[in-house]
Order: sequence, then structure tokens, then C-alpha cells
Amino acid sequence: MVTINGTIYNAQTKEPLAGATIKSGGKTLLSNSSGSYSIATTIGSTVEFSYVGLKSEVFTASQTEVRDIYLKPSNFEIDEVVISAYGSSLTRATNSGAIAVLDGNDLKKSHAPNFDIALKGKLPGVLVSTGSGLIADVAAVRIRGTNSVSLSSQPLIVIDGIPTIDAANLNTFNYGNGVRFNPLATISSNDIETVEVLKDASASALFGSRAGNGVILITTRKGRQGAASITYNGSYALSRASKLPNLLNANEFVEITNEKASAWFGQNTVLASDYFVDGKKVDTDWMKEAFRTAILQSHQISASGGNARSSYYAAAEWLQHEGIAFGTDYNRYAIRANATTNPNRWIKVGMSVSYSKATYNGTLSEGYTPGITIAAYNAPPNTASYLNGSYNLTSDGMLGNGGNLYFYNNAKTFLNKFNHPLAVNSWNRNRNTVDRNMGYLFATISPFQSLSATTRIGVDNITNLEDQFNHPLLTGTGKDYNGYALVNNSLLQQWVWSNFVNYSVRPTLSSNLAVTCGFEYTLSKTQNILAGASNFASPAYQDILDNLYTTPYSGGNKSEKGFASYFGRATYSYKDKYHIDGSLRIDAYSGFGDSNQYGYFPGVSASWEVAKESFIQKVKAINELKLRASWGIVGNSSINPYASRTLYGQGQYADINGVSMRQVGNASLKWESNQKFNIGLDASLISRITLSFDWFYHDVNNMLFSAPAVLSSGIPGGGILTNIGKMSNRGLEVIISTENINRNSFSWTTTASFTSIKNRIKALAGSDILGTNSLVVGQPMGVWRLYQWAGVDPETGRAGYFDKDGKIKYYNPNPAIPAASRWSYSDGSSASALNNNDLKIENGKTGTPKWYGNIENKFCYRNFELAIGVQFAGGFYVLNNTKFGLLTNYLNNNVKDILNRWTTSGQNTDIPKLYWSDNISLQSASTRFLEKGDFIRLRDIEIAYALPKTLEEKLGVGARLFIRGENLAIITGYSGLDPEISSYRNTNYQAGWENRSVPMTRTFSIGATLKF
Amino acid sequence: MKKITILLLGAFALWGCSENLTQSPSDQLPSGEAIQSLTDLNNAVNGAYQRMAVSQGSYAGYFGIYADGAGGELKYLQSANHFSPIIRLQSDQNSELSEQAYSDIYVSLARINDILSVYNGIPAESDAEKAKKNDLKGQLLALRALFHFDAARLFAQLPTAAADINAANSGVVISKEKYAVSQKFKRSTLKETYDFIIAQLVEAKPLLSKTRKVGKFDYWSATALLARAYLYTGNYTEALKNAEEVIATGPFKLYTIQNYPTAWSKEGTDESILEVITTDLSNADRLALGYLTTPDGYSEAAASNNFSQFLLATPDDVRTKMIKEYASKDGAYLAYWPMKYPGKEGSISPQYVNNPKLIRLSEMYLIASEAIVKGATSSKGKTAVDYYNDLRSQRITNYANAASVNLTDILNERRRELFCENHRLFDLVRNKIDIPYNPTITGTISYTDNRFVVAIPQRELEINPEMKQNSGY
Repeated sequence: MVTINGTIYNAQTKEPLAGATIKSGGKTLLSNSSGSYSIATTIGSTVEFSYVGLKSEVFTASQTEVRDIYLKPSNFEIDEVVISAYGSSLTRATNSGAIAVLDGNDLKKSHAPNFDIALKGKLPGVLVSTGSGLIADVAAVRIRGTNSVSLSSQPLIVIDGIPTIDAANLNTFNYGNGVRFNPLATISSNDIETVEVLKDASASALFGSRAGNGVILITTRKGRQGAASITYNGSYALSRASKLPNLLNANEFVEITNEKASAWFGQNTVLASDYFVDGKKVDTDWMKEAFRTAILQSHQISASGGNARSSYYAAAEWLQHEGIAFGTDYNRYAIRANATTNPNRWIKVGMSVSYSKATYNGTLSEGYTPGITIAAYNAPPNTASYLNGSYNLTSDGMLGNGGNLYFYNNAKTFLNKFNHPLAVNSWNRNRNTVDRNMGYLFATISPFQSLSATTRIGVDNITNLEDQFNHPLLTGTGKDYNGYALVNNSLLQQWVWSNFVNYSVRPTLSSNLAVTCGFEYTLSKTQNILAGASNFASPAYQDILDNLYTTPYSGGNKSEKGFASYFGRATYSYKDKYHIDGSLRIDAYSGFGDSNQYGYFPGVSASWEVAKESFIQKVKAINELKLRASWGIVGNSSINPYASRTLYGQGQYADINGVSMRQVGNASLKWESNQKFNIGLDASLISRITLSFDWFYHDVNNMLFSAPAVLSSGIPGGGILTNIGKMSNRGLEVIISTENINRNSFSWTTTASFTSIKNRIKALAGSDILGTNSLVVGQPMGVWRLYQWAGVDPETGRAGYFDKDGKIKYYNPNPAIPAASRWSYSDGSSASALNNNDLKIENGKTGTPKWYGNIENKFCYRNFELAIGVQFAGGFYVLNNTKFGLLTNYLNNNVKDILNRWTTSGQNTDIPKLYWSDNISLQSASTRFLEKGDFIRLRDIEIAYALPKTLEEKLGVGARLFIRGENLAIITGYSGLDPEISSYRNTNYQAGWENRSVPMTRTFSIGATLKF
Repeated sequence: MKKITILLLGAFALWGCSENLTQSPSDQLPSGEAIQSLTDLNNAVNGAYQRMAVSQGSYAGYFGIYADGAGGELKYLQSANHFSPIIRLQSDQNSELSEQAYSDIYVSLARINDILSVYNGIPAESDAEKAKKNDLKGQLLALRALFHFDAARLFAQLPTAAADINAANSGVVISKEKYAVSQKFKRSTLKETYDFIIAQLVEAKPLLSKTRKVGKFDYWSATALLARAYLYTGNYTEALKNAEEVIATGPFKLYTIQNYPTAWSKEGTDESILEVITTDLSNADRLALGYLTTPDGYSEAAASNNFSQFLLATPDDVRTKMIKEYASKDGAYLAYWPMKYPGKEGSISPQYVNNPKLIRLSEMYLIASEAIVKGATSSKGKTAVDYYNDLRSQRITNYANAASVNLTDILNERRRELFCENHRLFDLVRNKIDIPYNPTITGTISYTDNRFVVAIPQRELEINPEMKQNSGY
């Protein structure tokens, strides 16, 4: 007999693990509250240490000794519960579906206030597009491809079992000063213990008609049995644009502008000249004006603990982020408390409450002329930002034109004017103040160990006070209405009441059956109440306060939707080798048509643990081998609550009441259905390599399109929502983890994942839907349809495009040429003007990556840890509309590329000869601006240091300090700001536009976790 | 214990599912519930006018000056591509004009038909209620006529200029009942179209109240529209009869030289037989007439050089004040800008809020005069030149009566009087006169030019195989 004792630690956080399992010679013990253990066993027996979410350690006992054990986190190899829905838990062993798991600590590697961005480049099958560097921006999260064309493609987010409000954007107004505001930015990442992504249908079938885009299960931190602890997490960061457009300086601008003008208005036309303020020549770098180094900080304190009967976790957080775009910032206060207690064997009660308050000062960007990006990109460098101590503004609220003319040719030709990039952000106001409460209470009764019944009620409540003001001295709405203030109070509320029974039996000694069934009731409500005012007494008054304005506005809307759902699941295991799982959810939804109110969503899966068969057990190299297969149908019901009805609504005429038919309904309207197949394999080899492989096929049916209705029938909107489209997504996912070196003081692990996805449209409503991003049967969603750029004729400097027959036609913008004869072939014969017939579908090319993945390397040396995350993606094409916008021939600034414009015969260039106002040579929707987006990004590097254990014990404080860089470098052939910018990510098929979004950020942070 | 738990859960389940599946919007009602009383009916009729006030393709938007643009009276200083394509005659089956105007008209018609489908079931007890109910039906029928008339003027040839008014598909789709979603539509003949328009107005007249309404159809505006419809079909006797009825017995009187210039910012003025009411809350926004016709707006509709020269040639005429030379606040876009949409009095956004006048009394004088010139006989013993002089004496300082009048005089008078009120192109074409001038095209343009008949929207043809396109598209 020997005795081994010591302490069990989490190798990553260095915190002692209470309640870890120690097994040896048929004996099972748990470590105590301070993580220490002591076990007596025989020489030669194996001793196994295990803990939820961590990799088990095994060694063979040889002597009595003190041995501290460090359990390392496992990437996907979570030995215990991997999914839990409605109390039905699947362990890693019994699970047959496709699930990806991310530890909450990994979320901390992103500084973003919204945790979805932290998933970027982390998990196979999960593609996250940040879209832009705008703070708290909405991210597109696509699980195994985009699974809808018209409806939301965002996954269902479930926090501690309660589905959250499905709003994608908390900002109601996207006009005026509207901005985007990601609802997930109200949730503190520090409170998240794990993120589980349910990718296939069997894993997510219990969420039925809302699981079509996959499900993300968030588990918040809970107290554990053991000593109470207090933890501080804090970080401080600096963030700046990783790349900005390279714009002309004042000299170059004056030269280029006058060259354009001379070609159009006649020799030596001067539209732009040097501009002097106080005798100094003005050369404004608008990028420096509009973008800054932002300071970000966050601090969180949590306390947790528990005993055999109760546990608690409580946390409070303060986060303050500046945006890199001038005038934007985000602040959040969040508190959370989780507690459970089971005073006796048969009852357990738990609750969670959280509250967060966030204020967000946003800005417009992208296509909006008053947005900070267009305003700053277009603003001429030969004008000043400030004049006489204030913003340089004209009387009509535009940016002072500096050395440029407003109009030319006796006022007959209007040139251009600009919004002041800074004034629009500091004088106008668009503030969002969000309060979000989430909470639940549950009670579980277990009359027998094998049976439990739970009732749980959860609420998610968001209010957003949107407060906008358009300044009367600035052009646009403010000037038009002499000041315009708008306040919208939006309330989003969702109640979910679930009742379920869990039962498990062992019908025979070698088999196990678990059954869950239950009922759920969901009621969601949205209400907006709006008040506005205009024509203010003076610019000093900017709020809707009595008697300071003349014209009030009011309005609002309200909608409710309800689900009644029934569900059941049965899991059967035989000899711990064969597992089969079946589930069914029946969803009735108030938004479906009367004749289709009930939807049925089944899922089945099976797995076989091959490694447990005796013939494999002989193969020492194989530690684990499991084959999985699943099938199921899930749905997407994110349709408008009243989409199926014929409705009469607002029809006011002459300010007296009126009603009019607003919508013609479709009584057979139903959810989009997504039939998903998955085949997978998990293996663990030579104790050092784990790998997982999945093949999937999604057959999306009944996709909703507004089927064009005959206009003569007078159907408002000209269409009727109909379930007609079909689409498929198929792909492969691989994830491999290797333990390259594992010595006492040094270890090196690598995890790599790779995903490949193919999307294809199979049916649409009637004809193809053509646009720059087209929907064409047989092609992937959003395939590019573009003019075919043929380059610049070196002899004449004219822009050429291929016509539909492949012949190059050139455009001569010279104003002396009659409009009808400006197009000609290279032999001089006349050609038709560029038209829709010359647009060509770019076979298979879209803005969505066809493959993507990541490589994470982690090195540990004594108390130091170095983690390097690399992310890559490819097989996609980005339309560089930012560049297009910065090559235009009007009065606005250009990118430096324009310096290479054609000037002399024989010159090879891709910038045609410049002519003022020539907008025909330059086509946005052309292959000229379509670029391969493939990239490899050094996503993050983190160096961390943990206090040595001995010191920790002496001080009574555990500490982990880190320094981190995010988005440090990118290798790409793409010439724009960043190939991952996707300006229109809220429209599923408009992926791949870089259209003057706020640039991506590069962030450096330092931080600490202290544990008392 | 187990039993109790299961029973308890069962009870939860039953209680929970009962009511949350029938959700109704709070701002919209299913059609069956929306119109049940006379008040509801009144509201619904009100809603049938709405698009005329708020949509770009209707009167408060570019349709309010369409015939002036396509008829060479307007030029554009800036091309925002909303109105300028109309001037350039560059609209086709994919243009905003085609789809927007078509859908505005037929959505309004579907609303009217939907209301009429429940009309009979609405209770009206007292005589006052019955009269009110009749009046509402009269409004719906008159609106139905107006929208068909608009469709016919835009999407078909004018009957007096068409080669064969009985040719298949020469008219527009007639929308006269509530249709199923799957309904396919076919164009009628021109004759059927205009017969329908006239029949609707004839049916509407006795139902409508003779009390003047501003912004809605009353007996007088239906009569006036009928006069115009007869004029377009070449039935001059009936045109004269209806025009004279309005002139002689209607509650209107001609503007005077004094009040003509100020009439355009006011609501319900002396001459206004039918106008569309716009307000700060309901207007066509940046596609409103005021925004199109000012240099600080879209600057897409200024008086063409040809028109300004014509109008300014008679300086004693008060109507010369209907154009004014000025530039934007920055000094750009100097041109003669129309002054008929200066902003309704009291509105905060004058460029958006202007009541387009659909029918004015002066038009009745001009219709009467033209009908007599074309052979009709006045029951009031009036001659063509009487009506001509009556009107001109209220427009021209120190006017001396003319001795005679011919069609050219009347068309010139219409040109002066009805500038920017959507008449010019139609006046020329229905009289088979080539369009003499266009600021963007050299030479005259034949009145038979295909471009003067707007294309049926492409999507309509794609999903409605029996629909026929106009020639030239």
C-alpha cells in the first residue's frame, strides 16, 4: 500500500480544483474544498484524476509521495456534460451529435464587449464576420453556412436554458443618426463559463422551429462546492485602426482635381487651389481627425463559493470603451447573481438575476453621406477642420469648402459639398441607453433518484432609450427642420415558462435509458413608443422639453408573438458502446398561417464507440474511436409576427383618421425547414492526438420569398410571402489537437481546425433574382454579377469593358463627343453603351468564404504561457467599394492610386484618363473592384504569467497577468482595408462588400486576474 | 409523489397553451374586422386617398407634373434621376416611373375594391346615415374612375389620338372587384377603359353630396372629372354639358388678378374643385412637388427656356408670376423655377407640403371653350370666346376682349393657365399635335412617339403572361 497526496490544480488558471475526481483500484474520491486529496492504493495501480471540462491525467502508483496534479483544459474533449437542454444531459460519451465547445476563458481573449466576436476563428463550422471596427457592431454568426436567404441567419442564443430575445439590432432607427447596436454587447463575457454550439439537427432538435441556424448555449458561471473565493478580472487596452485608406494630400488633391476639371471644362480650369489659414497652408489629414487611438478598460469582481447543499456566484462589472471613430463610445455596468440550493434530497431551487446598463454613442458609416467614413474619406484636404475656434462650417451646415469652388460655370454646375466629419458626430446626438434584465427561477423535485420534474420560468427584458438629435446648424434633417430631436423607447420582452420531467433507468445492467418530456410556453412582446420635436427655439435646446419647440411628433408600434411547444427526448445506451438518441419538438407559433400552425421537428442520432470493442482495444495507438451519425429537421420561424394575415392599418389622409389595406396574407405560411444530416468521427491516438471529423449536408426547404404578385392585383408591396425556395449547404469540418511536447516545465500544444462549405440555391420564386449579388438557381447564394473590366487602353487612356460577346468596348468621356457615340470598339466602330446585358454572373464566386479555419499554438514554460492564434479563410471575393468610392471623378478626395492615372500615350495603368464627373468609366459593380479575399491573420498573441504557487500561498493571492495583441498582422492579396469587412452583413446574400465601413481595429491590452 | 408531479405538469401544460397562439397586431386589423360601421367605412375611404398624398408616383410626387416634364415645359438643373428621366423621355419598363405609378394606381384600386366588397353589409339606419353611406360609395366610384383615368393617360394612348380604340389590349387593366391572389389580368380595349371611367363617374354623381369638400370627391369634382373624361374621348357635347354645370351651378369662382399669385400656398381656394391634401406628417418627402421644383431641393424641374420665353412674352399676364428666376442659397442652379408649389401656409417643411390641385375651375372654362370650338353647342347660349374672355379677363391687367378664338389660342391658354398641373403633353397628344420642343432633344417629336406611352412594368409581364407591353419597349 502506498499513499499519494497533493493538490489538484487547473493548469491554465492555476486555481485549485475542489470536487475533482480521483479514481484508483475501484475507489473513487473527491478533492476537498482547497483542492487537496489523499488516496491509498497499491503499487502498480493506475490513479486517474478528472474534472469537468479538463483533460484527465493518469499515472501508475509506485511509491508514497506528494504529487500535485495540473489538469489541462481540453479543447473539445470535455469528458462530462457537453449539452444540457431541458435537464436532459448528454455526456461526451453518450452524445452522437455535432457540438463544438469553447471555454469561457477563451472569450476573454477578445476585447470586444460582445462575446460573439470572440468566437471568430475559434470553432470549426462557425464563421463570425465582425463586419467593421465600429464598437458594439452587429456581427454575423453563421453556423455551417448561411441557412436562409430572407429570414435571419443568426443562431438561437440560449442562456442557462432560456432562449433570449432574438433581436439582431437594438437600434430601431437606421435612418437619420441611426446606428447598429448588438444586443449581445449587454452581456458580460466574464460571466460566461462555456459556450456550446449545437451544429447538427439532433443536437438542436429540442429547440425546434428556431434551431434552423444552429443554437448557441451559454452557461454562466456558478458557484462550486469549496472555499469561497473572490476574483478580479481587469484589462486596459489601446486600440486603433489596423489600416486606413491612403488618401491624397492637399498638393496632390489640387493637382488631380484641376486635371479632372481641365479635361471636362476646358484647359486650365481651376476648381481647387491651395488654402491658407492664418498664413499657413492647410493640408488636413482627415484620417487623423476622424480616427483615434481609443482607450478601453474593463473591471470585474466576482465572488463564488458553495457547500454540499448550496452554491452562489455574484459578479459586478464596469466596462468603458472608446471607439476608434471620433465621438463613439460604449459603457456598461453589469451585475449578476446565480444561486442554487437543495435543502434536502428531493428538492432543488435555483435562480439567476442579471442586470446590465449600457450606453452607446454611435455613428453612421458605410453608405450614409453624413456617416463618419464617407464624410472623412471624401473631405478635401485643402480645407480646415476648425476655423476661428469652431468647426469650419458653411451657413448651410456643410464643411467649409476651403480652397475649392462650390460651383462653376456661372453657378450652372454644382460641384460638391461635404458633411463635416467631426461636427456630425459631436453636434448631432445618437445615444442608446439599454437596460437589460435577465433572470430565471427553477424548482426541481426528485421523488426518486431516477426521476425529476422541473418547472422553470425565465424572463429577458430589454429596454432601449434611443435619443437622437439633429443639430439645426448642420445640413440634412437638422437644418431642414430647424433642429430635430427624436426619442424612442423600445421594449423587448420575452417570457419563457418550461416544465419538464427527466427519467432515467437501467433496464438491464448493461444498458441505460434516459427520457425527457415537457412543455414550454413563450410569449414575446415588442413595443416602441416614439416622441419627436422639431423647430427648436435655439440650437442650445436639444431635448423634448415643453415650449421650446413648435412641432411635436409621436408614434410607435407593438407586436406580440407566442409559441406553445411540446418536446420529448429519449437516449439509450447499450454497454456504453452503442448510443441512440431520438427527440421531437412540436412548435405551434402564432405567426404561422392558420392552416400550418403546428410544426414537427424530429431528430435522431446514433454512435458507436469502436475503441471499446475488444478487437480495437488491442491496438495501443488508438485510445478512443467513435463513429457518429445524425439526422433531423429544424426550422426557422423568424418571420414577422403577423406575416400570414391580411391586414388593415394606417391610412391617414389629410391628418384625419384613415385605414387602408396594408398587407395581403398567406394562410399557409410556415417556417423554413432545414433537414440536416451529419456523419462524424472522434478519435484519440497515441495519447497525444485527438481529432474530430464531420461531414454535413443541409437541405433547406420552404424558404420564404416574397413571391412577386401581379401588380394589377394591387397587393401592397407587390408580393406575398410564400414558402418556395430551396437551398443546400454541405461541408466538412476537421479539428485536430496535438500535444507536441509535454515535459514538466515545458509544454507545447497545437489545435487546428478546418471547415469547408459549399452552398447552392436549388429553387427560387419564379425567376432568378438578379443584382450585384444575385440569387441564381445552381449557384451559391449572392453570386457576384458584374461588368467585365478589360483595363485601360494604353493608347487612348479609355476604360474598356467586355461586352456580352467578349469584345472590348471603350468609353470616351470627352464632352466634345456626342453622348451617343462615346462607346466604340478598338477598331473605331461604334458600340452600344454598357448595359445590363453586359453583366455576367461570376460563376461560383461569392463574398462568403468557402473554407476557413484556425491554428492555435500554446507554449507553457514554468509560469509563463504564450498563446498564438492564427485565423485563415479563403475561397471568397470581396467587392472593394471603398476603393471605388475613392476613385470617383467628382470633387472629393481620392486614394493615392489615382496618381497613377493615364496621362500619356503608351502608358500602362488601370486608372483611365481623368474627366470631371465621368461616372461611366468607373463602375462599382465591375470585376475591376472584385478581389480575392483569401487571408491569414495573426489573430492574437497572448503572453501570460501566473504567480508561482509557493508565492501564491504566501500572499494568499493567486494572480495571472497578461499582455496581449489582437489583429496583429494579416497576409492577404486583398488591397482594401480588410477582407473580413462586410458592410451589408444583415442581408444574408450581400456578403463581401467593403463599402466604407469603419476600419478594423488593432488592439494591445494588459490585464490581470487576481484571486483571493 | 410521482403521480402528483405528473398531474401538476399536465395542468400547467393545458393552462399554458390556450391563448398565446392567437396574436393580433395592435395597429392593424384583419380586413374582416376593420370595416364594420359607417365610421370604419369613412376611415377606409379616407385611406383610399392616402397614396395620392404620399407616394412619389402619384399627384403629390412626380405624377403631379409628369405631362409638363414630358411635354417640354420643364428642364432639369441637376439629375437626381427621379424626374429628369421623364424630361429626357428615358423611362422604360424597368424605370421607377413605370413601376411606381403602376403600383400606386392598382394598390389604391385594390383598396377601393376591398372596401366595396364589404360595403353592402354596413348598417345605415337614418336618412342621414344612408346619405353618408351613399356619399362614401360615390367617392369610391369617383376615385376608381380617377385612378383608371390616370392609368389610361400614362400607360395607353389617348383615345382621340389612337388608331383604333377597339384594338385588343389598347386600354389598361380594369380593376373593378376584389380579386384572388392568383388572379391573372388582361388589358381591356381603350374604348372599354374609357367607357368604364365614364360609367363610374355617371354612377357616382347622384350618390355624392353637393356640399363642397376640400381634398375629397364631392358632386362637383366628379362632374368636373367627367367633363375632362368626355373631352378626352371626343364627346364634346357631354364635356361641355358637365363643364357648364360646374361653372354655372358649382360653388366656385375664378381667381382674380389679385388673388391668383397667393392661391398656391392655400388650401380650398375659390377655384379648387379637387385637390390632394398634404401635411407635415403625410407628404411625398423628397419626391414631393416642392422638392422637385426648387433649386434647394432636387432641382429637377425648372421652367424650360421655351416655356419661360412663351410665358414672359405677355408681361401683363398675372401668370408670369408663376415662374421666378432665382438660384439656390449657394447661388447655384439659376433658372426660372415654378412658383405653384411654394409650400403650404404654416407647414414646417414647405418643400414637402404642397396640395396639388387636380381640377380647377379655369380648366372647366377652357374645356367649355374647346368643346364649343370643336362643335358642341352651349345650352347657356355661350360661345367659345365668351368662356375664353371670361377667364383671361381675370388674368390680364387691362384685358381687351378677343373677338374670336381657335384651338391654338385655347391650347396656348391652357399652357399658361395649367402649367405644372399635369396637362401639357396630354393636351398636345389628344389634339394630334407634335411636341414642338424638348430641352434635351433636338426638333419636334411626333405625338405618336412610343415614348409618350409609358411602359407596363417588366415584372408585370413576366408573371402575367396575358399582359401585353406597349409598343416600342
